[in-house]
Amino acid sequence: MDLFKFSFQVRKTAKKLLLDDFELFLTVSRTFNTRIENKEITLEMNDEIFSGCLRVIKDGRMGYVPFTEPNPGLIELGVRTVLTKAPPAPYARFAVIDHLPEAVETFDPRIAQLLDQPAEIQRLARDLVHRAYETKRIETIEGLIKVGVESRLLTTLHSPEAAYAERTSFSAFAEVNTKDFDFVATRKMPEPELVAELGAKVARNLPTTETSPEAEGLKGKSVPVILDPVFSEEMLRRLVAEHLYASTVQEGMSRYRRGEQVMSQFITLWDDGTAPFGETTFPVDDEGTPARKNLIIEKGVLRMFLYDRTTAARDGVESTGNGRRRPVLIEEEHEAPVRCTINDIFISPGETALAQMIQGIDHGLLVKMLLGFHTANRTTGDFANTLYFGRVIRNGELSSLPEPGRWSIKGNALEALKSVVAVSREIRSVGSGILPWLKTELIVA
Amino acid sequence: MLPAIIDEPKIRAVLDQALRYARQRVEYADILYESILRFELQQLPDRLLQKPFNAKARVQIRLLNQGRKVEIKVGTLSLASLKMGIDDGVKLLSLTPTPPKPVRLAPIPNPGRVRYGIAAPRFFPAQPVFSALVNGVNKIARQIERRHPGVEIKPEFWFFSQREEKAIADSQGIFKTQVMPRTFFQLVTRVKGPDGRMTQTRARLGSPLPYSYIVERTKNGYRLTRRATRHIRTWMEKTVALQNATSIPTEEIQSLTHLVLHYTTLGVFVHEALGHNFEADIVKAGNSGIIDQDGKPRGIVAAEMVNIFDGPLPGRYDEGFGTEFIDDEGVEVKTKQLAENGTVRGMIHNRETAAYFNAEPNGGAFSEMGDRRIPRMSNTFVVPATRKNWYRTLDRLISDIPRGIILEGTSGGAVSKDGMSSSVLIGYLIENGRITRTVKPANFSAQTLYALRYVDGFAGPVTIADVGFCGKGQTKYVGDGGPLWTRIKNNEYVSLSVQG
Repeated sequence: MDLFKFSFQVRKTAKKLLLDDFELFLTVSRTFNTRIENKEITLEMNDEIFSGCLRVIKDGRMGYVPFTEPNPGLIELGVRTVLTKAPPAPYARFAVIDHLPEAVETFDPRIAQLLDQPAEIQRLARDLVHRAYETKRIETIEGLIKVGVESRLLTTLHSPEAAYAERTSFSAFAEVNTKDFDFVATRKMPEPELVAELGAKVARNLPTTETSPEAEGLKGKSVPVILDPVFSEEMLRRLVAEHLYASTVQEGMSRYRRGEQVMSQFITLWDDGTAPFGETTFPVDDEGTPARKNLIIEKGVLRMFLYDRTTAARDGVESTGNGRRRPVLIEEEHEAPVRCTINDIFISPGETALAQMIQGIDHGLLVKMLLGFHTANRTTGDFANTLYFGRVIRNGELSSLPEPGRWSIKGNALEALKSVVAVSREIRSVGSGILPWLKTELIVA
Repeated sequence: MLPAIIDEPKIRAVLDQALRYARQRVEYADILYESILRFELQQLPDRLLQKPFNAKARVQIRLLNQGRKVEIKVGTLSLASLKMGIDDGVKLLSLTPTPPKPVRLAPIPNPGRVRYGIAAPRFFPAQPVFSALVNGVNKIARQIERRHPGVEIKPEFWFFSQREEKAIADSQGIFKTQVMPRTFFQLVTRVKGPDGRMTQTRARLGSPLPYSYIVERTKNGYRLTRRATRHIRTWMEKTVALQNATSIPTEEIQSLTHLVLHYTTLGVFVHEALGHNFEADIVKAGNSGIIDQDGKPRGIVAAEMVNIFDGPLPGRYDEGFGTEFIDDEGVEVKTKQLAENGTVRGMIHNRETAAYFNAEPNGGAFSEMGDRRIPRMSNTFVVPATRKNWYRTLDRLISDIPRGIILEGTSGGAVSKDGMSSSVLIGYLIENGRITRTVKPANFSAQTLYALRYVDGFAGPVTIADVGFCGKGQTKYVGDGGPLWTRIKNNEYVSLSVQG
């Protein structure tokens, strides 16, 4: 499907409807999934999945038309419907896309080629399964290898050019015995060896013993905890980022003030919509503001809030390139409203080796994932959830698995980040960011 | 008369042609076409987002040949796209390894019946409905603020109402359609107290009925229904009450004798703790905590006084957010008894797992807009197996509790093989049979096999009015519930932690 050709058709419709401005967001994707369920491998293809959203401004009012069929007639009907008593537009015009930044790195031809060679991906999946079972430690293994190419276009009526990129994606995931998992998520082709070893590596590293908080004598105690980058990223994106958004500040609900020490001095954090092969990388954000890197927290001090064009217009400042279509619940990306949204998250590595961080803990936990963390309170940052994936640390070693359903962990995300006492030298990519391991304290409830 | 999908003859013709094309290449093929026409309003913290028009549609093709299966999602319903999907699928079939047990599909019962559903509007009076919602919700917030000086109430809400259509056709001549309305309202109330303390709740209403479930037309225009008004007011008041809520330390929680769960807390608890473990694909993968991989129950899953069901309330297709007449494979949705007197009785099947376990398909296969069709819950609920210890009122149920806690509301939950976790929005401490204090939000976790073994009483009628969106790689509308109140004896397999 040619997105440029379709955008010209929409331009014609806009002219016919005498729109003052429009912003057109289009994607078309093709993905190939190889699903692993123990020794069974099934293949799925998503062919030419098209979606789009047209935002329009006419007579100072703004309307929103999401669609999944490239049908100009349907879009025209949609525009006519939404313009009936549409609410006032927060700004007079959509962004003008010009002077695009130099080409961002989002496309790896090796992944695109792989998409046309499903036999290769299937072989990789079989290898992953075979190696995992060879460890003789597999009760169950679940996995997914997903390879895709997406074309994405954003343009507005008054833009001399369109922001366009083809983005490849590769992700592979393996969960072993429902006790632990590992994954690769990237826009750049990973080493096949890394993927083939995913399940076996998890299986080999699984402790054979499980323990409860009562047996460990940790129930009700505040304990030293190492936060895995997977968990830190989730905590930052779900709970902390909320307090960094200009929308929350304007509402008077942010806990943060610019210039204040909001996190531990060991934390320097930025977001980036231009990082090579990053999850959110694209020349512009979802409303045409050039993508950029924002230094948000420097040595624990808040340097800036994150703006989209609506909140920026309200404060009389420029957008920081954080206007993203952030879907919630049943929304797909093209249906979601543009909200202030953090791009890929980065934290500077620290000076302590991860092994040293673990060795320094007599009795504590490594937290990789809490069950149902999406239920945490984004207003206050409070959470109380069951430990799903992690390890019990005893005498400086990752000694046992937490017994399922027995460990409740509670804390406050904002406070936990204030209390970080060490940041690891090692970092890992979690797909939508690159972060180190962090050492802090949480309560075993 | 049963409602027909828009353009039924045209859609049927495209599907027939595509299936003829597929039949020349594979032993069996079926196609699911799903479309949604939705109108939607979101009051966000910083803006009002109106979407009076949102149309989307997707297609799922499944091909079977010599015991192997592939699934293809296609973006648009055109013969060219479908043929391209079938061609890709045929190529993938040749690459698919033969599974340990060949894939078979159980036959679709009642193959001759075509139409199912409830009449749903094709056009929506978006503007008057939107105005009624904005005015209604914010008016209630201001009224409550006046009653609690110094308190600031910031309501966010999300409303949508939609017309859903689907058509299922297969290479053996099946053609079935369903039309359903579905309406949803979610209120997130955030309250800032005089001292800057912030509290938050989330409350939902949802139904397989049109928008009039939330906003009704009167002689003077549109307004919130009584049900919606009461719900909004109640949860805003509760969020204000949380300003003075207390925490309970771990030692004190251990001394509680009982937990009393509102249906909104019980529903998500049953859904997460047990429901997923009855889904036959999870059983087949060896990931069910209650049924072995070969379909053999691992033991008792609840107290003898507990029955567990999934599906619509018998004969009631106008209740339950997850209610449908047929699943996405065209199988009529049954009310499935999953547990009887605390013992496993059944599973939730799609056609593939039904054939695998030599069972009847029971209408449990669902897909999110063109994704693969997998066993899913629709409305999961507890029904007391006996009248014994089933009281009329909450007062009676808690009267003999020396020290317990009432748990109400949820902002969701999650499940693993052996454990589950669900959030609780508000609690009330019970001391000597009376409610004494409001308690802060909490988290409730339990070991799957023991989650409901200590149930020892109920109060109030059974309802499936709790509303959820279940994620299992794809999102599905679900309902859940049980008696208004369920009492559980505190035990070592259940863990409660209160925030703060």
